[in-house]
Amino acid sequence: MTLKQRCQAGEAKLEQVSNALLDPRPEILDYCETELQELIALLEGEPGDPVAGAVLSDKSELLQFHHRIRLLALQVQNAMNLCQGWIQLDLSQGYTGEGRPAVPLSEPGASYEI
Amino acid sequence: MGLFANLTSSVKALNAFEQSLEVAQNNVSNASTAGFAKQLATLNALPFHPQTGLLGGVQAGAPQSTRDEYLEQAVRYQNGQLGNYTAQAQGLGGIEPIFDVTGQTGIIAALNSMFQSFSAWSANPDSAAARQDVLSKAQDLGSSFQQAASVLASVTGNVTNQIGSTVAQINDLAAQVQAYNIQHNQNGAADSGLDAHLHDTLETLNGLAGVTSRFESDGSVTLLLGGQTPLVIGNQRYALQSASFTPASPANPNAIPSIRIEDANGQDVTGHVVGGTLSGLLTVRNSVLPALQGDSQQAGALNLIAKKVADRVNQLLASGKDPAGNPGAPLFTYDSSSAANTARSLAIDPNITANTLAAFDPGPPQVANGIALALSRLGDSTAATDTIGGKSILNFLNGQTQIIGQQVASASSGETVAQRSLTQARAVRTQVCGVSLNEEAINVMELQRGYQAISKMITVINGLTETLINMVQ
Repeated sequence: MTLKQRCQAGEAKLEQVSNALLDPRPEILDYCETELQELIALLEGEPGDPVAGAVLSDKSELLQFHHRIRLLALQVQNAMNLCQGWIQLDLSQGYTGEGRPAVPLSEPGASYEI
Repeated sequence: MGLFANLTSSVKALNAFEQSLEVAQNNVSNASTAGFAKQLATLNALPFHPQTGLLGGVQAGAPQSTRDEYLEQAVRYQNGQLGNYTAQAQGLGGIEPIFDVTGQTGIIAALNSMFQSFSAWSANPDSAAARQDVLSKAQDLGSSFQQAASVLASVTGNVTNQIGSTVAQINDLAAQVQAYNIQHNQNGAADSGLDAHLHDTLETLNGLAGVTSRFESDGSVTLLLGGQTPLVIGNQRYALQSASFTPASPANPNAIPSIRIEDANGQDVTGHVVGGTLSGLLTVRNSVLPALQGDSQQAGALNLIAKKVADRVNQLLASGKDPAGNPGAPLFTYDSSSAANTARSLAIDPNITANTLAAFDPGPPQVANGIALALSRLGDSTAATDTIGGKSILNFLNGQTQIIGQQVASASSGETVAQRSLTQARAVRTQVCGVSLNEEAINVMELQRGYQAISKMITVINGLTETLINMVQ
């Protein structure tokens, strides 16, 4: 498989992963992980796959592939930031801005048991 | 336990469950309503003290919205990013053809053709056809600059109109939030339909401009443009407007003015526009376009190129002699009253003819084709008199083409990422709305772990690709 063919196949895989990530469910993320593992294997190539003889057109394919990876990295980074922010907010519930436990206000409508 | 107490307890329980059913029914009815977040019915336990007639049971509480403001904010932010990049991509899309990177059309093609005609003329300085071709190609270059200036002016007009209509939409949406505040004040209680409409409005509003929304303790919503300029406070609304702006004593008096956004008091609040379509439009209108066509303070790249080409060609021709032994006539003319007018007025001098073109350099030493030869090399010349910002004319033009290309690519990439991030944020919001807070936390943590694993793999792939790029010569 030539470097150009590997880049083209890789780019198609990146597109699949990027589209799949639009439906963020744990099982989908597992699927994406598997796809990316295959992509790493594809890039590493077989022992006989030529790299040294690659020409300038291969480099432009590689640069395009590199650009696509960076877009996917941004997409994932955004999703990570979103989750991170949510988790931080969730963990900070019940604490003041200074990290002290916030005393809950009494609720007059709360139930009692005798 | 008295019969009356028992009946009261049963009625309350029945009422509570009826209300739960209503909430569920409301969720089903509004499943596809924009901005709607599921409601949870709350059941409060009642005091149990048989001796005093308190028999426990349940009573319906106020329905709780599962809307998660953090995720709402994330969706609004991404919507703003998308609006910003989309507006930039559209604006730049109209400019890009002027600087055709292939060199087949536009100014680059016209300039190269003219230098080639100078070269052909230098090879055969007495040829009438070669002289005529020089005039023809110079005329094409003038038309090309005029056309480019006209396209830029047209894009400027379109973007200015879009800014006006975007500001009008922002004011309309702010009016809807103001109406929400008034209605909320009158009704005094949370209304899920009203709440859905409000959140839908806020999402649309953030697509147009970065607006901070604050939920006040009285239930009203305060809107601040860029977190600073009030748009809505309680029952009051403060309208924005767009206006043309030229600073006092401008360097280029006839240049196209910039556009600024003013608050209700006429104060300049352009700096508070930090996202959304309006931000993208203002970037194109006040930064990208002036850098090319000039404004009150700068000449603009297109005018700099037009002026340098026209001035240097005319100076070189004036230093030569035509076939009749007269000093060379100028080839180009342009309006010199404003540095921002050069490109739109560049044309060949109406008095020039093929016979008054001066190819002969009187020297010393005298060279029969000296001027024509110097003209053919003008595009690549790095002599201080021939350069713009230290670059040869063609290098400077190529640099502008690269800048536009990078801006287009950056806007396009930003649009792609923002679109996908928005879809993701909406999907996460849909997924976590409607479940308990503990379930939400578990879901989000699980997603976070998944994204981290993917991010690590992307880092590996990125490293592998960079290694491959370095290996390919």
